[in-house]
Amino acid sequence: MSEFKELIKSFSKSREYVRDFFVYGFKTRDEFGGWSSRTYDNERRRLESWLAGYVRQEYIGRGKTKGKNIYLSIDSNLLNTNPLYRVWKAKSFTDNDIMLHFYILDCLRKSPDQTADAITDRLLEGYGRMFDSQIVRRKCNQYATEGILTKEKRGKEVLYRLSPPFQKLLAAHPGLKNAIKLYQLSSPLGIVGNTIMDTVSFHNDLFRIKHNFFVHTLEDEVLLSILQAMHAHRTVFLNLKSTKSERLLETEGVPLKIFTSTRTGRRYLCLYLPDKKRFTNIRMDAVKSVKTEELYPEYEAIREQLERNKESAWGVSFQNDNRHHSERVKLTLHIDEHSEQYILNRLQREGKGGVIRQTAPDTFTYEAEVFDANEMLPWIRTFIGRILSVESTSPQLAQRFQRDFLTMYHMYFGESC
Amino acid sequence: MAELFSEVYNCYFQVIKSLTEKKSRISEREVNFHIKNTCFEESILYLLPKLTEQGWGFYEKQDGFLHSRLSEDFYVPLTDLQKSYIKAILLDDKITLFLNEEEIEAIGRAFSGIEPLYLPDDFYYYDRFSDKDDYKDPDYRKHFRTILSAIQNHEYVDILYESRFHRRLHHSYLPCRLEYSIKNDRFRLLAVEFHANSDSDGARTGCNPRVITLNLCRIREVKLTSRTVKQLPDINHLLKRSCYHEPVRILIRNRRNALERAMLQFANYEKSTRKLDEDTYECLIYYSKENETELLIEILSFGPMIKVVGNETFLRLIKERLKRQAAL
Repeated sequence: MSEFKELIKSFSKSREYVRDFFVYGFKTRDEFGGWSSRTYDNERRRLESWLAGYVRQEYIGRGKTKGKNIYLSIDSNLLNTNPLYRVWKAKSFTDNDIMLHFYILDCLRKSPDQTADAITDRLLEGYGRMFDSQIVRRKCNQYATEGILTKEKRGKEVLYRLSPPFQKLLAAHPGLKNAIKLYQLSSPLGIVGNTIMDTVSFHNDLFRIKHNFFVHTLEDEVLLSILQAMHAHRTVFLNLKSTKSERLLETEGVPLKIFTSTRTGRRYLCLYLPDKKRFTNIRMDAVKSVKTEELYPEYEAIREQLERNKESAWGVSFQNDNRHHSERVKLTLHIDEHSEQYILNRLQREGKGGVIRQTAPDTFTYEAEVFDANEMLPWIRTFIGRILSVESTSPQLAQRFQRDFLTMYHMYFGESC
Repeated sequence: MAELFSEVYNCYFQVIKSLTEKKSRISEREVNFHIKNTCFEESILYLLPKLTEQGWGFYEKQDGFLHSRLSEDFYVPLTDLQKSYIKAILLDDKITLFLNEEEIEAIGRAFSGIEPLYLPDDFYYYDRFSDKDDYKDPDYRKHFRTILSAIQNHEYVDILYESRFHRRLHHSYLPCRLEYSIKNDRFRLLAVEFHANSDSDGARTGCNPRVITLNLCRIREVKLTSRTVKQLPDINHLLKRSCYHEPVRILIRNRRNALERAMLQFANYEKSTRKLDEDTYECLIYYSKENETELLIEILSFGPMIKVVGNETFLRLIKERLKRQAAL
């Protein structure tokens, strides 16, 4: 049996099980299909080691679901950082990797502008460690590519030196330090900001975050590749795993924008499909791998088209089941005009530019035209208790609202209303 | 571009760097403490033996202490990935709360030749509220900076606040944290109130301090008072103690992908879930009084896919809305 290691080589496998434990958190050992029990035990132990303090256990003692389940319980409002970032800090390395890291950086801090051969000699003299000069050169070149070192050719020699310390810049602009404390929690790819805090040794003692979905960080490697393709105006080939059926799929298109919901926790890649001449949105957590492909010459034009179209999308759908170009929705609501101004404020700020009119005392209408009226249903339901009518050019919308409401009423009161 | 999943960001590397920065002579107990604080639960078993001569040799053991062989002013420069992240945040509209135009330009110049990791236009928050805070307002910026300074110095501030109903209130508060909401694109101040009978450490020892939430955009004036405390109160403890109720108990019917939707939507709440039968799951969601209405409408948005079965207060709220709807 191989020895258990808390560090890992590749992120993709961990991404799936951390997501399963974090998002679902009710699966017992038997319910993790596709994994051997050894894999499950190792992954669970690793997760418990990485995220100690956030992992909870529970014994379930009923029928088929009997067993122990572990889950992550995190209230994002109470934390200074995203605990899932810890998963990114578990990359395995060799003894040479870590020794060369510290010895090369220390050596170049003391004596800048050294060749790889000179560094190799100094590692032996100063630290009593003997390395092959080729290995030292390879590490120096890797660090020059990553930006940690700068590399300069003087005559026949290649000289390496440390890039300037970030601490100097932070001391000159202390506001930047506070900004990083906020952005590491609130911005896309916040994990990178968090690694800056590690590099410069400071913590967030100022900010808290609300309405953040920590689980998004698990998609950051995929997001990084997509952003690079977007900035280069290139198409991408994606391997997908359906979030509903777990079916494996492939697709190809022009990546244009990341559509993010601040309420449901879903994040999508908006892709243009040149063959079908339409936009589509793909769940980011369904994207398993990204391959950047060819340059797409019409990129700017298509992106402008998306900018115009996205205003008519309520969420992420650009079409409906009724073959209409767009659908009209009209809500009539009972709102006490004197004491319920906050409901009108809600319509205003959440209604995406829909038109609000007062049609009678304490009666208001809200009207909007969107590509897919069905996407509005969850939002419409949040006004239950004051909905006088739902009208739409999509016949299904009012029917679904009414049917769901009657089911809910029956569910709570055991009778029809 | 450098990789995100790289050993350079590994927590073992980070803890060794921070130990080196701290001091050149350190006890094994201190090393233990820092490893436990920075790394994973099992890291100590592997990492500690590696630090000395028999391992990677960063420390020499002498007189029961570990002596670092690395310089005290050892530092790790930023990677290009980290620099490009800084370039990206310089483009965000909230950055002006922290830096003025000259500073933004100076930092940009320090990383010339590096492209931003992302652009604001790469992302579209399609259901974000439209009444965001105005980060360009000079008064707003001034208030923001004064409050940041007060949090850092543990200093009380006098605040003139305009309530939702346009009432003006004046009070002293000890600012503890600024809370940013991604959905609202707004900041709120989490503070505790000053009580005249408190001592110099008032907020901590005062009788039952309560966390107050103030919208930054409603603050009309904020002044530093020079009254400080040694330590800020434990805000998590206060939030939990003063606001948390019995959890909401919901049953989720796994139709129309409702389970996956609910688990994701409620992922930022503390919760626990268990399977009851083939397509029914029970979920307990812990919430604060302040978030009650928000949680209520989130649950309503799922329609018949979610049924609230407890607690009694929450169940009553749901039933009231349904009865009101039926009566219309």
